[in-house]
Amino acid sequence: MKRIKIKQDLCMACMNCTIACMAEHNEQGKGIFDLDLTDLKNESRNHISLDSQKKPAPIFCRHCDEPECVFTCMSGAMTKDSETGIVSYNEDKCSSCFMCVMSCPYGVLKTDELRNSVVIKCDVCDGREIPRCVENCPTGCLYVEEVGVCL
Amino acid sequence: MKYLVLGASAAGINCAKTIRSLDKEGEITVVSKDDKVYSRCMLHHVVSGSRTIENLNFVSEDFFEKLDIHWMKGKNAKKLHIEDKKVVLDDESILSYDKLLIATGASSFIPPIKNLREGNQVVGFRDAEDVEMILQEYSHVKDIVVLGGGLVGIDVVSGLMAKKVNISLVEFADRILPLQLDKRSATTYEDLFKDNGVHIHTGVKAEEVLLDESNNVKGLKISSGEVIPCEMIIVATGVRPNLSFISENTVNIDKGIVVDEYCATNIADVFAAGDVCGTHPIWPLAVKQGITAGHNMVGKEKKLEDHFGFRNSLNFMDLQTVSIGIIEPVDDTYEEHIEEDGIEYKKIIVKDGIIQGAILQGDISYCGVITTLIKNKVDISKVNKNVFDINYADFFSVAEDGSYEYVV
Amino acid sequence: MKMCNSADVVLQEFAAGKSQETSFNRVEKQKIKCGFGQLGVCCRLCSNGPCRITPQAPKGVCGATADVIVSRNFLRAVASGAACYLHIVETTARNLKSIGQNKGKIKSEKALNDLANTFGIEAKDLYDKAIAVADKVLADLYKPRFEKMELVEKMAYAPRYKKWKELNILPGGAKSEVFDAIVKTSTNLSSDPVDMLLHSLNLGISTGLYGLTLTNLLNDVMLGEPVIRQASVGFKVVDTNYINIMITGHQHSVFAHLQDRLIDDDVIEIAKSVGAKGFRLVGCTCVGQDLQLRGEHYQEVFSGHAGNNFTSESLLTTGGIDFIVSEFNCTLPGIEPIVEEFMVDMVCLDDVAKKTSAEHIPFSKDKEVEISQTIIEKAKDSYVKRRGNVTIDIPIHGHDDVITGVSEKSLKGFLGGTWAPLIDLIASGKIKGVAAIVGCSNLTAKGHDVFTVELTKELIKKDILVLSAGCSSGGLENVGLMSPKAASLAGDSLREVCESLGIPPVLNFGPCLAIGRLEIVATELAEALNIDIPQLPLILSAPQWLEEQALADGAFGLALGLPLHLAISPFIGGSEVVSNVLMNAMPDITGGQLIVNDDVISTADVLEKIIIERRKSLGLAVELVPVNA
Ligand SMILES: Cc1cc2nc3c(=O)[nH]c(=O)nc-3n(C[C@H](O)[C@H](O)[C@H](O)COP(=O)(O)OP(=O)(O)OC[C@H]3O[C@@H](n4cnc5c(N)ncnc54)[C@H](O)[C@@H]3O)c2cc1C
Ligand code: SF4
Ligand code: SF4
Ligand code: SF4
Repeated sequence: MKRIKIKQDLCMACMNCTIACMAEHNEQGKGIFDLDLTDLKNESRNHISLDSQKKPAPIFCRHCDEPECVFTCMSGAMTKDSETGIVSYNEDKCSSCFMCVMSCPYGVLKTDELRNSVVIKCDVCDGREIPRCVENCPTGCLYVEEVGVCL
Repeated sequence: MKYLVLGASAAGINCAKTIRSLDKEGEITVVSKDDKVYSRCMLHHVVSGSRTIENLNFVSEDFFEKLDIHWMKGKNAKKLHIEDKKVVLDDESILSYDKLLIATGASSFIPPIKNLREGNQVVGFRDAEDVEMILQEYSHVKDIVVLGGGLVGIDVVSGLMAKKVNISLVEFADRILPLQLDKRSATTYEDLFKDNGVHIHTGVKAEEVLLDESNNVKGLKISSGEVIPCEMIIVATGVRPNLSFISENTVNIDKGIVVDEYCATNIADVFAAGDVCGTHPIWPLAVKQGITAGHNMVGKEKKLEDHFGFRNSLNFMDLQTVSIGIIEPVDDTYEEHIEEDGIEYKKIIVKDGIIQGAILQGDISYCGVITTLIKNKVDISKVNKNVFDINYADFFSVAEDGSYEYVV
Repeated sequence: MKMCNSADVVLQEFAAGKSQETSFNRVEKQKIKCGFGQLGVCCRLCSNGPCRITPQAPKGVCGATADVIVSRNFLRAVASGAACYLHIVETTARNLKSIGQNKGKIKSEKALNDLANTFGIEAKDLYDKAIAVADKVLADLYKPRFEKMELVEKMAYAPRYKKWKELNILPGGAKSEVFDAIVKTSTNLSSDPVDMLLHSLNLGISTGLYGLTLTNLLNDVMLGEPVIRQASVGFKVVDTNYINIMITGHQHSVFAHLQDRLIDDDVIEIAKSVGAKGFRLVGCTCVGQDLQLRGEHYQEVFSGHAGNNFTSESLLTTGGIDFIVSEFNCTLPGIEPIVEEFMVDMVCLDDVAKKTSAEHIPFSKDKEVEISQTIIEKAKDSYVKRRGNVTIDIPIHGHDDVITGVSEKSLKGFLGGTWAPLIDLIASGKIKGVAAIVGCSNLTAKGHDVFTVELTKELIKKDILVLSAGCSSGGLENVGLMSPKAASLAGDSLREVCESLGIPPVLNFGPCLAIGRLEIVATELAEALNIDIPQLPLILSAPQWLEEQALADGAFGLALGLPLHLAISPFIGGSEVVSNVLMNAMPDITGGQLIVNDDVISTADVLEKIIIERRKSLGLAVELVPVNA
């Protein structure tokens, strides 16, 4: 499968990936100028966290080989595609129990700010040729690479 | 190879799926009493009317066809013969196996309270049939008592709230959700429920069900002496594993079927997974045990790495909470950290640099990290941060294949 | 090396064949833009920052909202832009004053008298008049903020002046207004977006009337008025038989002495002594454009305009430039390594444009003789040092039939001393309306000059006459749109008009400073029609605006009540209030309107629609007269 790889040392916490992800998932249009940064509806599927030395770490869904979010999902909303390896989330199936949020070991998942009813999860930009976050990372910190087989 | 799986829920389905991914040829049969695949954890959404049973299917429509699995639905295993490796069903058909998984889950336990088992409108909350019964009855009913304020009981209450009925909850402990929540976090929910018209009776025991001459439920007498008038009682006081088809002195049984870390029982080629094991009756463990058993059944050795059962996420009235590990400090060698902000509440319990438990209410964003730290007993003493600010960045490391790892 | 597109295909091919890195290449590596920056919601005014607005963090540490951050950033940008133009007019006025004091050369008495009349100045002789005119300008610039500038009322169109007064945006001393704009936008000062936007308009007025208009008019006195003529443009203007001095900047009067001196016999002798035929000034950036505009008076010394701001790096890679004199922007930092490689020495006459490798010779009118001599010597030395040691490769690039020298006066003169013929053409619908395509070139609105050229082509197809000033005109002339033959690209009606008058459909007003001239045209048209400026079927577009100066120009456009199109957002998208005020509320405030649109076709449609609407409300024919009717 293909995975977004991360070179942490190159991350400078510019959050361009974050804002790119918001733009890509904005119902009002995908352009950066369509993005209302004061509207809580616009949420990013990735985020940047800092460690105690203030070193930034890009937190991106790994589309895990053994995805905890899938294992814990009781509704069938979280599934891993055996061909693409992508772990995807189906909002319609989701029961809003948030077992996945509790279980993703890397703290990738959160609930949506406005309604608290769905999970904010990376969809690898729904088939986009190059994921928007990768395309917008100015440092080369993010890149896509084939990482071999998946289950 | 002939695989037989008893049960088509979290454990059974995941086991069958795993087997198929590892053994393309094997003959797989799944037998289940349920005639549908559905997620029990979501049954209360059927009560509320927001879903149908069909909508609770947690696998794809064509799951069995696509994976070439033979599913015998609506059938009960009646007898297990370990010597000749056969299972007899209630329709007397006989199924032989090379490898067997027992994933028959559990059933509601109706406690020995006076008249409880006799009442016509007394029902557990575990199966689709329970929900059907509730939905049939409730239109004739004004008042419902939910017995048991644990997770299932509260689910039931939240499901009923969408209906025009008077709901009373009876819980023996001093608060609802006593296994998951401390006083403060439980009270928040209690207040929300009360605001929504639910009558909550905590710290009381159910003593007797009042019945009329035809055994119709009329009320529930509780230890305070009060009688709660009601026409239906939904019982959510615990479960018992479904083991009746197992003869004594065959498969080892304690609280449930006893398994080792490969999910194998004491009997060769017989495996067990899920609630039938009676340890931690939670969905994720049933899934993982099913997957582990599946591996070992096809001969691919796999140990169950995750035994951690003390975790649950709750979401009632749009207030989310997760509860992981212990919920109160055991003694004063445990440090308790608390952060409060309006309705939001966070509590983390640490001992010797290891987080032992956490309750997060209101904001659960990215909290899977805490679950992992508790589950894996990760030492956080080197992380120079407020414990509430700890996140995966503090353990960040990327493996060769791009997956994340924890580095301490 | 990857590079961006240029509307100028020959230039693009030439640049692609060179190994030197230019802006065309770097823009590819800078493709990834910071979204917060684009939306204007990054604030680094204080050490609690940089703060960025996100839905989860809707306020900076101090409490500043997106509206506050965007409006602060915007006003700061406009203030910087205004400061740049005010620096130019200050230098220009000081130079005029010095000419008066030293009884120097006044090239256009008429221009001086016109100004003196406008200002209401009487003086005993021309020199005193020059001093008095310059002093008036300087006095206004140096006033405190609480004293309104006096020339505003004299320069502005009366209905506009009234409007500005009503809006309380009449500027006090221009420099003080800039000063307080900086104050206002510092940490924990103003948090009122509307006040900051009004301040931007106030700065727009001083930029437009002083920085642009007066700079032109003062220069007309010192350097001669524009005369319509045909000229050559492009790299072909570089003649290697000469010692070629490339000039960059905006302060043409700084070169007044030099450009005359370079054609003196003794100086030509200096060139001859090292084997060259003489000295030539090669135009580049706005000051070149200004020289071209006044080219009639400088035929011998000025070889022609080679190209706009982002052409300068490539121009240097021809190897044909021997020396550079700079005095303002756009003097790109990118020229420095190229200059080194091509062994070109540089002198900078104003430290605001100081390049690391340039020698700084602070210009002062009193020392101009000495300074010119130094430049001549240094240019000669650079020539001697480099020729023979560098490769020279001048491509066949450019046109010989570009119409230049268009100004408010020369155009009116061309029309017979009255705007009536143009008004008639507009009224009859032969010309649907007028578009001022102005500003810079950037590399991000589809590439170098790409948006400007494409939009211009669309507009002339719609029979809209285009007037251009700024680097946009440098681009438009290099692709041939300012040559009479470009009439064939216009719509049938406009084409007929152009062909009968022998003019191109895109008129070349020269440097960005001449945006001031376009605005005089607008004012005079409105005057002739007895209407206010926002009623004119005239739109303004700075599609490829580049720098803060362009935003200050734009603020003037809005103050004048013109619809102003930009292809790239001026970093305001993050604020609802700022966007709303500029894009939606402005029509009711000044009559202007900001339009941000990065699509050529729909921009052309939107602008055409505005023109048609305005025609309608003026009661002009909307259905155009068929050709030959
Ligand atoms: C209302 C409710 C809410 C819950 N909420 C949560 C929650 O939020 N989080 C959580 O982790 N867990 C929750 N649980 C628990 C969770 O549902 C169980 O842990 C999980 O379903 C266990 O799966 P299982 O496969 O072991 O057994 P079960 O789901 O009990 O399934 C047993 C299967 O075996 C079949 N079967 C039973 N007897 C026989 C027989 N004799 N012959 C053949 N087939 C038989 C049944 O038809 C069924 O298909 C909840 C449970 C309920 C009822
Ligand atoms: S875009 Fe790249 S450098 Fe910037 S924050 Fe994201 S990962 Fe880090
Ligand atoms: S959400 Fe978490 S657990 Fe699920 S695939 Fe992504 S990283 Fe893995
Ligand atoms: S791949 Fe797409 S969805 Fe996933 S984090 Fe990147 S931008 Fe967001």
